[in-house]
Amino acid sequence: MNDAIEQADWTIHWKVTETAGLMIYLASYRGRRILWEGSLPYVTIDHQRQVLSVEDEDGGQSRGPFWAPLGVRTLAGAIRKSDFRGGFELAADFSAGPYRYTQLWRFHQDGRMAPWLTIHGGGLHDGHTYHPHWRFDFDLDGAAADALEHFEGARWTRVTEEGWLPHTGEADEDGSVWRQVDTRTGAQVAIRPHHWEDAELFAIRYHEGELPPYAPHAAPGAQPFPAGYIGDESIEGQDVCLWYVAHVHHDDAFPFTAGPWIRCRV
Amino acid sequence: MARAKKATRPPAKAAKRAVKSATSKKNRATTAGRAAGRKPAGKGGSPPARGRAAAPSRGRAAAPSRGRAAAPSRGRAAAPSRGRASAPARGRAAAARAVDATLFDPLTEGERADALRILTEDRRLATMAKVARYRVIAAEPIVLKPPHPLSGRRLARAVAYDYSALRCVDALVDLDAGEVAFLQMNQSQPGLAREEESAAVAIAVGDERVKRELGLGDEPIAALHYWSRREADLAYARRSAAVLLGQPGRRPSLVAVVDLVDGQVTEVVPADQW
Repeated sequence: MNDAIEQADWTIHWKVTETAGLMIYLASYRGRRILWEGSLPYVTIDHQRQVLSVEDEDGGQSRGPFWAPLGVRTLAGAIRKSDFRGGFELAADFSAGPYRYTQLWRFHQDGRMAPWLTIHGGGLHDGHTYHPHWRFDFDLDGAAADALEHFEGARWTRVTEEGWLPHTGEADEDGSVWRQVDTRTGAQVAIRPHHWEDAELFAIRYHEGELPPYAPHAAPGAQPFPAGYIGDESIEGQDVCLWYVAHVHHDDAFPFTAGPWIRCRV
Repeated sequence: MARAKKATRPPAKAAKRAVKSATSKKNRATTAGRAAGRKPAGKGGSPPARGRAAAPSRGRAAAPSRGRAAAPSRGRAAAPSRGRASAPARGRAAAARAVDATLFDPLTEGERADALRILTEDRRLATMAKVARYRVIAAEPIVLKPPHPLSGRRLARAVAYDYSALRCVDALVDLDAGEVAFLQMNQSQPGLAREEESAAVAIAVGDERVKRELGLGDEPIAALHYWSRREADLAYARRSAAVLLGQPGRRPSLVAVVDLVDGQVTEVVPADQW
């Protein structure tokens, strides 16, 4: 289950993975490499107890999350490709018990890309939160010479070390909060989070030969990924891997479509 | 739907807020991190627990990983200089663009069998193979970026859970060379294999407490990987599943937590109290 598509100034390849949803790889825009790999390694689901006692210091969340990998085994139906005015999109439905999702990848001729996940609700009860985790390995004109910038204090600020970059509400005029820039060519991807999903970005230095995770955390009691990856390595001029994590609570009306807008400028 | 946008706050405050208020929507969003006290990039917060293993040196099996796996760079020579400082970078970029897209193709049945056979014949996994209490979670292609020496080769990532040693086995199999190129064993919990899901369901429906709680027409709806945040729970460290039971097409009515190591139900909870 994979294929290549050349359309609307994009060249992309796609496949359904075993555990990381519908993956896009080797994506180029106007002949320039944008993405080595983009995937959805997992969607964890936390439930919050509806009735709390004063002893519940954990806020009702101590049970821990559920998760079922989105992939070949949870795929419901065929991958759908549709054309729309000014672009094309791929859609895949996944189902795991009461949890249903539609993963979308949309590509616009003007350089926008939308890796989205429509969450159809469900769950054990209303008090639950979805945490989709996207992993983006952007290779703008090649893997090296990346720089990451975060919009804060009303300006773009260079991020020099690995770290956690929450969306604090600030954004530039087109809504972008983070951007990755190739320092040699100036090519960039700007990431605009969804306004209602408490998005956060994690920037991690890519190590040669690094393998993406198959589990949400490394060991019992360990921090979940991608937080567990973060150290203090420099990312300036390096190959950077980005994780975009959304937090979608079921109080919001469902279906809810989570995920960022990504605008490529080459 | 309307709500105020959040203001910048240090992670320590976020952690306090997460404990303090169970009703705040923001604080119900806990996963990845804000409640974990993580360091905002470049803001000098307290360093988070390191979750990443250093890339293993040439050819050695990796030390037990704290999270991050990387294939070894065996015998890699430095990229030759071509007289200008930017040449290696340009060369890498060109090499990256020239990647063979077919390397991403799904494994054939034979390649999958080959990968798993190579894995189980590796002498480092002799105990796992002999005891034969392991489950294969995934076997799929993986492509390493240039200039890694294994880039351009047909590679498979094989992940298994070894019940004989309660560990995850994560291997990179070089199908061109017929060998395990990288092997890591750790305490992570990959998603459940189909066989584990079936086992969890069978254990749950056979449990007397579950039988007593089930209503007419209730049946297993899903088996999902689960871990507890409470250290006292078996599911904190042991491989576990949450089996959701109820009527098809409706919300589950019961959750049975199954310890897959000993094959027993450890907790039965009405779904609305989960």
